[in-house]
Amino acid sequence: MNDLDVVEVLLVEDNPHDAEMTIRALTKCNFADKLFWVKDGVEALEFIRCTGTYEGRRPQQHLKLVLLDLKMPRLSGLEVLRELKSDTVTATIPIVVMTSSKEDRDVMESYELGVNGYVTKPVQYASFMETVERIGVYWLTLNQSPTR
Amino acid sequence: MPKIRRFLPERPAVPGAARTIERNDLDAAAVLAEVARTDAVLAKRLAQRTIERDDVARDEAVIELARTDAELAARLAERTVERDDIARDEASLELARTNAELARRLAERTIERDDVARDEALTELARTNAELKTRLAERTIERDDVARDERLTELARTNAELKARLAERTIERDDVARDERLTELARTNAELKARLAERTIERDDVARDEALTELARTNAELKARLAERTIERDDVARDEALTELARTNAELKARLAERTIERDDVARDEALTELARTNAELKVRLEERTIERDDVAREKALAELVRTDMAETQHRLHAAELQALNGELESFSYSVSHDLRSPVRAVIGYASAIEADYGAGLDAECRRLLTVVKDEAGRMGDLIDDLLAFSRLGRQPMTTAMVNMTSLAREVVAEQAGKHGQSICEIDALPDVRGDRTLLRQVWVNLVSNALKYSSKSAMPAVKLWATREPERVIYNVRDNGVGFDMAYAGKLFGVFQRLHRSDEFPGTGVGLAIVQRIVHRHGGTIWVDAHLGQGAVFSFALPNGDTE
Repeated sequence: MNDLDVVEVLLVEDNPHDAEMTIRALTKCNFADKLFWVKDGVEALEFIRCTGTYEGRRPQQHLKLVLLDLKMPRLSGLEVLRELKSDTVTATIPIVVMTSSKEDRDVMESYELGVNGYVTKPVQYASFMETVERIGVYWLTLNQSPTR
Repeated sequence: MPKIRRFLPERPAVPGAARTIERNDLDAAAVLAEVARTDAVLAKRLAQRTIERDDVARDEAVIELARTDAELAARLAERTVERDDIARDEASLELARTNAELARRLAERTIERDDVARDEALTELARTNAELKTRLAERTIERDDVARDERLTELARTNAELKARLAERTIERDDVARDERLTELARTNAELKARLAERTIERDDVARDEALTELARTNAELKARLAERTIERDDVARDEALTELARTNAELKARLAERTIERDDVARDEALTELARTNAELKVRLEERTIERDDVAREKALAELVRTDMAETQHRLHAAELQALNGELESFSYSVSHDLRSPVRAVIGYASAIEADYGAGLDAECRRLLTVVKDEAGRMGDLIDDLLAFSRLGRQPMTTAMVNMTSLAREVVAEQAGKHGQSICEIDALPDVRGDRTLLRQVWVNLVSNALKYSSKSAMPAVKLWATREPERVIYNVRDNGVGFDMAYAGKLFGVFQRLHRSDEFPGTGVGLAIVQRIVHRHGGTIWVDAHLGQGAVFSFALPNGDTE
């Protein structure tokens, strides 16, 4: 069994600084060992579908959470969301958009595509850490994830 | 980076007028330049002529002087022979005096001549100026003429158009008249047919009556002759007569019947033929006229279509342009929203991470510097957020309904009251107004939080909200007894990022009042302020009265 087979949280984030801060926050509440970070939408789809770079990954369980940035090179967050939610195999994976944008159209389109949550990244460090922690606690401990 | 310059409102394009003004400006500038150039040339020529004339005069004076000198010398020589030393001395003195005088006169004449030349040059200059002015006036008149001609042409075009429309309407009216006449004709035809039918019957009746009368008469005659003959002749003769009579009767009847039929048939045929002919003719004329009318109608419809089409095209172009601008603006703020924040977040995040991870090992100064980095980056984040909020305001569609301003203001005051220390808030009953509740809430939030913020350092902070009704509008006021400001800077107050206090005195980004003004303007209202330094401020905004709608 491979480390990649037990991943519970997938962080899809192109900005390494934001990724570092998110990982830092999740480390504080001990979720980091279940986390895997991919750097854009294409890689996210490959990871979830076990194709391309991630061919041969044998997931032991369903992902409990995908933290999805919106503005990314190659495949944007909204496109990833559309792909995953329109495929019955992946439609039940909980996806929370975590982005800089407060734009109404991003929020609306995300929900129209079936997102499970939408969070704006706070600029202030303390609020950022708190926000990520609360998301982690909610989805990984409080929430009952679908089994398949 | 999108071109922000393009978001500036452009002056409405009035190509003709703008071009004319530009051309006039250019022409006027050219004339002025010409005047200046002419002036310069004249001045140069004046200077040259003055110098030349002075030189000539001086030369002449020198020659005159020399000549006089020679003469005097000659006379002196003569006199010297005749007279004594005293005379010579006198002559010498005289010579010196004459010399001085000549020198003076020479100087005077030089000055005079210079003056004359200058006067002449000035006169020339004045004349040239006058001439240029006249030419300018002429050209202005010419231009006016051109404008008048254009207007006349326009007038003529309008006249022609009006005539065409008049002609169209006349045709329409003629058509109506023609229709009426056709209807009348049809009616007359129908009447004539009816009358023809009647007369046919009448005529038949008359003919039949006449025939019968004739028959009766013939019968009576025959009977009389029979009676006579009966007396004269025998039974055979009588029988023959009777037979003859019966035959004649039958014949007459037959002929009568034939004639009735013939006459009726002929008359009816003629009438029918005439009727058919008239009908055919009317049909042809009707068709022709229908075609004409259709053509006219079609042309009119086409013209209308073209006109509508042009207007629509222009409208569409304008709308497309606006949409393009809006789109650009939107993509601009969209990018700002996504991209501008993350570096700020990284700066704050990493500075905080240093504090968290190495805080214990850092000295006080190092921690202070880190705090400055965090605070300033945080302020930049706030500025970006406020700017985005401001930009969203302009694009967000408004949903209007009647808004209960009293409850809205109370709700806002309750929410804001705790954020800036203790203060006494008084809220009067406020009239309802038609507007977008979310946006109007933002107005109250910004005005109330400002009032609380800027009065927070007063001994007894107090904020009052009240309204006054006018026939066309309602004026809402927010007063505080805070630091106020100098009204000299009131004009800056509603600009984006404009502040009258340093952010270490009162925190803020300077966007709040710009947002308030924008919302009030979007509601068709106005906003103003009255304040005095150290004596608080009253912000008032007027919104159109919702009751009048």
